[in-house]
Amino acid sequence: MILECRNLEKSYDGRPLFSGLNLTLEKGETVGILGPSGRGKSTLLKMVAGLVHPDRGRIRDHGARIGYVFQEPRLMPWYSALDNVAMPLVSLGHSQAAARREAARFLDDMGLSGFLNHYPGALSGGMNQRVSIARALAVSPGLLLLDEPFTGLDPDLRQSVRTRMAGVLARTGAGVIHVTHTREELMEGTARIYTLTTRGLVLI
Amino acid sequence: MPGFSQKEYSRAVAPKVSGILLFFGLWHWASEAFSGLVVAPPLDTLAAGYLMVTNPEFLTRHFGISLVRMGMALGIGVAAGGTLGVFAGLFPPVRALLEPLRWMLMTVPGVVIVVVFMLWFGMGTPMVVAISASMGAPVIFVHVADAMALVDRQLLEMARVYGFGFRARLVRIYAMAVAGPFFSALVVVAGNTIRVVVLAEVLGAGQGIGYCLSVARSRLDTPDLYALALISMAVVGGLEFFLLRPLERKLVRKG
Repeated sequence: MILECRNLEKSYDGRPLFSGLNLTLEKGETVGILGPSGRGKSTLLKMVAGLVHPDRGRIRDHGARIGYVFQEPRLMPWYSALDNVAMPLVSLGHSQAAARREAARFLDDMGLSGFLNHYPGALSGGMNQRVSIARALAVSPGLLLLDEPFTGLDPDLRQSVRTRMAGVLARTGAGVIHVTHTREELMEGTARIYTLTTRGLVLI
Repeated sequence: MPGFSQKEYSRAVAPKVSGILLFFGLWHWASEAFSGLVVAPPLDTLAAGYLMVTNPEFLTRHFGISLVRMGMALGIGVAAGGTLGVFAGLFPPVRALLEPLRWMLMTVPGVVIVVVFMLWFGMGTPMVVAISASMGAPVIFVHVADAMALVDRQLLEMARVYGFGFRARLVRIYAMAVAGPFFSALVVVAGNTIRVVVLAEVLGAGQGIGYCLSVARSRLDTPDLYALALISMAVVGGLEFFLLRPLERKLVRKG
């Protein structure tokens, strides 16, 4: 098991988002979580990533390295696409040269081989989102958190990116939590699909 | 000029050249209209300036000393304001602690600071440098602290997720986000520092451009006064256009 969430509870400004939320995730497993905006899907991912603390309950991630595709690309505007993907690898201890080689490979996987030295300001929203996906995959995550990762991609590109991601995930064996509005956006091979309610996750 | 066509270059440069010619034209007209004691003719000023910059004694005893004072004042002001600004941006209680001092330095009339620092440091280089640095540091402090506080929280979250350490966050996110506001403040502070150094030298130094100004004023030597003003402007312009702006273009990527 790479993730275990037990009895999580979270409120914002006195408004309960959810309580009694339980979730477990095995290596190589993909879990989909659906729900309307404002229900707390992104908050749940942030909790798993350690960015937000639950009011109650506990999370054990068993030391899995996290890759996170946020709703927005969250790229550093002063670095090229290549460097945006390479920086986390440098933080993990790769040399600059090795990090850049690895980053170039993942950007190539996302169909961005011609844009390695472009800055985020010179790329479209969809391209920036693909850079963000490449960054999340490049760190060889044990646990991949996807927060509506295909927003801003047109339908053809969405399918192509999904297929490329699935290929990378098959290689790495990462566990995936994928939150989104609609069932159609979920990755192929999603093992379980939940709806997030105020009383936790409901399997559908 | 790389990246510009001849036509674009002419369009960019022509208004600047016209502005300079207009300035000299108005200056010449004013010198004809008023007494030479009030407005020195441009040619007399240029001649006086030429004599100064070819005089080794002026260059070493006055110009050089003023440059050293300017460099020291700017260096100390930027280092102090920048370092404290970084800490104030990272740790809000530090900012709250420093705000009264910052507010005092930015609101007390400059002449009061000059008089007080003359009492503390006596006449000469320490007083000139202390006054100029203490007037530049708060401006750098405010710009750096504000920019640090406004760094994109989403980027900082991303950095946490991907395990950026404190040093990596400081260098790769904070420093890059602060570089733009820092350089804007630096250009303003550099100009002000040079002006304040000259002013402080007028009031309390036996060497430097300011001291030469006070001597020229006492002799009613208007061309020398104007020439010293031109030399000061040249220092500000040289620093801004040949050092700070190119450095800003090299280091600041606005995305």
